[in-house]
Amino acid sequence: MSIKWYQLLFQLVNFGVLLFILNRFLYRPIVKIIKQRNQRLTDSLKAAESNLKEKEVINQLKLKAAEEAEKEAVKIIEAAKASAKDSGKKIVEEAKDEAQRQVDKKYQLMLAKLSDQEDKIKKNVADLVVTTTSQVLKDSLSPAEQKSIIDSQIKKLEKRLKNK
Amino acid sequence: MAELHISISAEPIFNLGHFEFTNSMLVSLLVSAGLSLVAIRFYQHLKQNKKSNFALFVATVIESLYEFVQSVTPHHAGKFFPLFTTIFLFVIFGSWAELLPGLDTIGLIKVVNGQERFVPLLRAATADVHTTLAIAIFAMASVQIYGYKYQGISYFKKFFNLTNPINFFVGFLEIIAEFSRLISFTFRLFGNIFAGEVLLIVIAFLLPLFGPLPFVALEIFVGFIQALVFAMLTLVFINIAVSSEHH
Repeated sequence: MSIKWYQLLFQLVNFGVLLFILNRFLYRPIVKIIKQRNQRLTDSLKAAESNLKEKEVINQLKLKAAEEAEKEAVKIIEAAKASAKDSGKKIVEEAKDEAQRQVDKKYQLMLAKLSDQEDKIKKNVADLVVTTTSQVLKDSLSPAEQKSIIDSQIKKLEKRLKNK
Repeated sequence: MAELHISISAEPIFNLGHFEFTNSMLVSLLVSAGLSLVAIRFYQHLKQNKKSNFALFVATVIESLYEFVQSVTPHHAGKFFPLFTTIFLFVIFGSWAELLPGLDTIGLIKVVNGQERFVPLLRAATADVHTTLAIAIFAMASVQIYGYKYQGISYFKKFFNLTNPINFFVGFLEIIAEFSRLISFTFRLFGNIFAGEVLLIVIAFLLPLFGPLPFVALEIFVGFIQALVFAMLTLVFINIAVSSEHH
């Protein structure tokens, strides 16, 4: 077995040509596809990471907004409670005033009615006394005596009414 | 065929002047042509944006090999992948060619030195020392070229170091180591495939029909392992050469 240079050269050229053809038509396109796919994967991963970060920021904003809304709601409720308390007090006071006014009005009305009744009674009693006395004393007393007696009786009656 | 035909060297099937065209050269050409056709066909499918099972299969095989190279040398996978894959594919198909039907039975009757001689038409490409030496030269030349490309002139300091006698001697040993790698590459592959071919011929002669079947399976495995070892060692040697450490 001896090495023949031309056979060796033939095999070297054959292998070199094969390497060139495979590299040109097979390896390069496949490596290109693999690199493009890896790039797409890397981009997708980056996009997903960025989306996750954005989501986290949005969640934090949501939480913050919810906390603020809760605080605002508590404030509103407290303000409403305070306002309701004031309104209640006011309403009660107004009602009390109104009731007092009604009571006073009724009292005045009652006083006026009492005064009317008193006047009527006075008049009726006076008329009755006059009539009775005139019947009794028609013939025994002179008109001047009758008048003085009537006046003294009226005064007595007035005193008695006032004492009542 | 009444007797066994075993020849350690490839035999010429025709002559072009002084140039002898051997049976292993024919198989080398056929393997290269087959692989080139597959590559060109794949390229055409890709250009036409045709999604076929053929293109998918080819892409899957090549991508698996690319991932393998990436696992060994993650930063230079794109650079070393073509050489690794070509060595692997050429060696595996060149070795499996010994399993072709009619390997040692179809041939020519040639008259050599006045005597009629049977010359088989086909012989495994890697069962010829010229083929294995050519691939080994390609592999070891690539190791030196990549070493120089990545490390510059300082790469050769490991061979020629005149700082002191010990380093000079170590450099000498390094040169011997490079040549021994070349020789081990050549003869490991040649020895394994040639021995396999001889084994198949002998078994087919002794136990025809089903006798060689287990050995065919064994040779398929040997072909795969030899291709992987050759390509893998080339990749490792290149990886060592491009790294900054000197070994």
